[in-house]
Amino acid sequence: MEQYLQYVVNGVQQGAIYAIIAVGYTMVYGVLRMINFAHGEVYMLGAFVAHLCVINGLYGLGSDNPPAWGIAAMVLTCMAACMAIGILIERLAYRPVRNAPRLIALITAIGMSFLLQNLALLWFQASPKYASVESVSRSLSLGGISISLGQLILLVSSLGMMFVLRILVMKTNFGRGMRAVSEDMGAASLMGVNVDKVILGTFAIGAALAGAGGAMTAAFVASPITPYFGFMPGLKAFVSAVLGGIGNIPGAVLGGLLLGVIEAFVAGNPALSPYRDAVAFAVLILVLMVRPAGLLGRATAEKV
Amino acid sequence: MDIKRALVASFAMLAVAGLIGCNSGGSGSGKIGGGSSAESRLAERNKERKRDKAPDPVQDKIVIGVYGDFTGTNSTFGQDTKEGVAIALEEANAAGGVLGLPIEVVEEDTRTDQTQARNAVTKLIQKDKVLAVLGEVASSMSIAGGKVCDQYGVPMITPSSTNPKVTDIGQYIFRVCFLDDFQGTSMARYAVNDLGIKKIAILYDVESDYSVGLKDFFKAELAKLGGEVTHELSFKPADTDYRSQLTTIKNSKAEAIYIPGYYKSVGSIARQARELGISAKLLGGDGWSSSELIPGAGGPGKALEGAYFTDHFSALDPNEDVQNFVKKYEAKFKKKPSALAALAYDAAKVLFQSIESAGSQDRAKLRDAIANIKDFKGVTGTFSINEHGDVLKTITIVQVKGNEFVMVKTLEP
Amino acid sequence: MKRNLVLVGYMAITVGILLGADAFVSYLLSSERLNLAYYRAYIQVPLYYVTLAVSLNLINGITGQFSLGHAGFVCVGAYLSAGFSYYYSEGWVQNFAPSVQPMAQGAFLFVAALIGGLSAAGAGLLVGIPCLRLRGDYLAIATLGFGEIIRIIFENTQAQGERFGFGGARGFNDVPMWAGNGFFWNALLAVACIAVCRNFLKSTHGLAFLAVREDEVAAEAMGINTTRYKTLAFIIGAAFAGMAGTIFAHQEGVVAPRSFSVEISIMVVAMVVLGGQGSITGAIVAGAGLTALSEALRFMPKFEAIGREFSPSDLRMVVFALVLILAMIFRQQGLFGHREIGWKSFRFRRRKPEAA
Repeated sequence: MEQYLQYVVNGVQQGAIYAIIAVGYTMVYGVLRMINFAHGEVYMLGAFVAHLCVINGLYGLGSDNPPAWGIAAMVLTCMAACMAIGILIERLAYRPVRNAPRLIALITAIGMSFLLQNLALLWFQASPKYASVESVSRSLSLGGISISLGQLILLVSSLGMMFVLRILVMKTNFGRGMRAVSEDMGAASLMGVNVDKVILGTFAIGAALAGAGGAMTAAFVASPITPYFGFMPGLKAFVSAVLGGIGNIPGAVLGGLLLGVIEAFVAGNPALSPYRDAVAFAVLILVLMVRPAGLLGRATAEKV
Repeated sequence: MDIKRALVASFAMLAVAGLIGCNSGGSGSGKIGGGSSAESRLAERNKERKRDKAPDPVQDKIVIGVYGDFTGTNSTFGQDTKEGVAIALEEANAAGGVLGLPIEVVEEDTRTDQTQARNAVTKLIQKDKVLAVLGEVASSMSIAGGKVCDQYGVPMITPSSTNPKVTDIGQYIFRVCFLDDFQGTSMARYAVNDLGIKKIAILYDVESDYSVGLKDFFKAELAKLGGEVTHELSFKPADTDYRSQLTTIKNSKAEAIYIPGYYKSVGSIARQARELGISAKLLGGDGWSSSELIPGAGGPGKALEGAYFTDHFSALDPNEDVQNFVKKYEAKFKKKPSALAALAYDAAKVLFQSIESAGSQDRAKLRDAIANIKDFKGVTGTFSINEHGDVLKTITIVQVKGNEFVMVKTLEP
Repeated sequence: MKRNLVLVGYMAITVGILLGADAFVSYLLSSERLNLAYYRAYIQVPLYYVTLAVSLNLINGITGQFSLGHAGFVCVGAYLSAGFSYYYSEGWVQNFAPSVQPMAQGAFLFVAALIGGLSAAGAGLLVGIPCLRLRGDYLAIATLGFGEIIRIIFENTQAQGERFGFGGARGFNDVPMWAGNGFFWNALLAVACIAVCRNFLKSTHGLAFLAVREDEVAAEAMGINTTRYKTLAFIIGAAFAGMAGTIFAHQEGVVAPRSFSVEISIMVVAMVVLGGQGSITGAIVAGAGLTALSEALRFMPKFEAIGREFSPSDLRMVVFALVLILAMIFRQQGLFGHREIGWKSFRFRRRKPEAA
């Protein structure tokens, strides 16, 4: 029993990372109907920014026991940097192809993903980099289930961010604009919504979340960072977004957590362990068979 | 034309082609290494084959090709290799080059893609007119590139491909690293005989041929010695979270975990294992050997303290050559060399020494010179190249203590 | 009957031309004086990608079904045909007298290609049927998933040799290299693939495919069995991908699961889109062009900037990515849009008004 609970805990933590990336995927899809393949790379860049903060000893991170505000400041820096990167990508690469057929935008995003990976490779080289904050690797034990402090912080803060996002989308003017654009871009612009601004904002928020995810994974889970750090999580996040119903923010969170937990159980099973990704995809396909628009997605009626 | 007819037509077209039996331009029968016994391997290697003529090497300098993954998912290892070669190159050129000629290295990228590996090697031979080739880390890439080298009769030394098949390709292919079986079995023996551990769990990288090879031989030897593999779980190089696999291992009461992976993943695995409260000993292979290992595990004295792995050398080795290499590498790249870098350095040194003893830029003579390397004192140990093109060298069991890898035992081949 | 004869005639001519071309190219490449052997990289690998791009174009461009799992079909074809050759037929082939060896190898390779093609077509059917309920991006991710599942299954197969297996991560070694330098077979397959796709488009079926792409609901309402056409597109596209995999396996001699990663599927989609969705000419040009580009970039000059030396191996993929992005921004319909270049575009000099 303990073992299974431990799987759940592990899975939820990994799932929270998927979710925080998936939210960005799903928001961009919501407003533009476009799969932003470069989103995983923004997550990777977030981790590299965290690495830069740590090696330069910003915010007191150079010491053995960095202050809590320093860690928070680091995550915020990564969010800001990624926001800037997200905005840049949108302006330079995606805006020119916004009115092109959707697959054109997809290939642009794929090109962007290649580009960011290889620029990161040029800058940071291939050997793994670290941005771990050692003081949070203390593990807590709750009745036989262990969780590290870092994992806990990651979990709580990513869920917190998702909650803030929910408020942002549901209660603010910007959020209303975003929802309007995702219903119908043309109509929204006729109603006085500044579509360009909304799209830019969507990219900025998504990128900031991915940046936070990257920074927290690097700092709290102590993962080695390489230019390919974002590819697989990005792909998994995309799967999560589709699993939950792409375009739907709570769906992305649900999909991410679900995928994380499923993977945890499969990875821990000796017979299934090597097939982990295959099982994840199989679950996705099965869910889509039953609910073609994902778990929380709306089944839209065919327009004739 | 309807669909059926179109399909029939296309198949028929292929059939016609098949019957005409057009198999032109063949590079000869490509079958290598039918069995795995020493004799059959040797027979494969020495089989007569028609070789195409490669352009003569550049004469006014010595040009060496290096191919590896420099931009793909395995670029970490390609980079290490490149850096190891760079040190050897610098040394050789500072000493006046080889045969009185300066040496130049041309790098080509494979992105761990078979077709690109082949193209890269073909380009090195045909366009850059290299004398010999160094490369690849991943065995599947070395096999793809090695076939091209053998076809043109260009000597190739792979620094770190451990699959026996690589040197079975032909007489022009050599290696300077252990084979899978030696490392896997050595660690199993050490665990059972010296550490007295019999219940061992395995956590391996399912996408890496190196990891799978070591795992298979470790498992086989452990079974022979009466040990027991409690669980065999896998991860992928892109993973960041290994806790689920470790949770299963924790409940299996294994006394040790064998992790034949690369240092990139091992650090995280170790620290997550400790965070979960696993106290089992950690065992590994030469993929661990890197200065990045300890930082990845949370620093000296932390998660990897007391772990054992099989290695070629220890950076602590008082041997002058080793210290010299480590110092130069640190000065240039601001980090300690990994085993991959050290192997690449040795491979380059073997090549340079062989060119010197061959006396000219003749590839066939160079091949013989490499095959005749005896008691070469490299930084990864003293070794000779045997008739399979493989090396015989002692294996070192090292233990992680603080920030150092301390030699605890050496095993003869 | 007469039409069939004509067809056979065409095929014989094609094969003849290809044989001639093969002999010519082989001569050029192997000539020591000309020293062109490297250019093989610009011929044989691009031909492989042309087959992949044109076959995916049938699914993706012509029928409008967004598939991201093409590498999975190549994987099935490569592994199963290699298994057939390695375990069941190599022994037979070696019994033939040396003089007829090449012919026997060719014949067996043909059978292997059939097996590769059929097994991949089976996989296409398997993927096609459940995925038919899905549309657009949902279909994309489902096919991507299938592609990965296929690859992972082969990655975990028993090590080769001891028992029947495909070598797992260590790669399936010692596949008989019957395809020789691969030029002839790749060219033949590419021509066959182009011919089949082109003839489809010209037939009434082609109109049905296009109708499915343009408006599925309307097509269904017009009495087109959209399910049938979508499945058919998947099956035929997959079959050609599987045959390409067969040739790949028998020319490389090693099949490693890495060669069929998502990245390959993504690249092939990029080729189709870059060429102009639905344009066979575009798929050919983009397939050959992108592969050749990534090779050509090996010859970039070295240069120094910001105190560092940048070698081509560092910058190759950066430039490649930039070219991809810029091409998309400046050619939003792809290189060829929906247009084709064929004999007609040369024959009729008169400009016809663009159809609306």
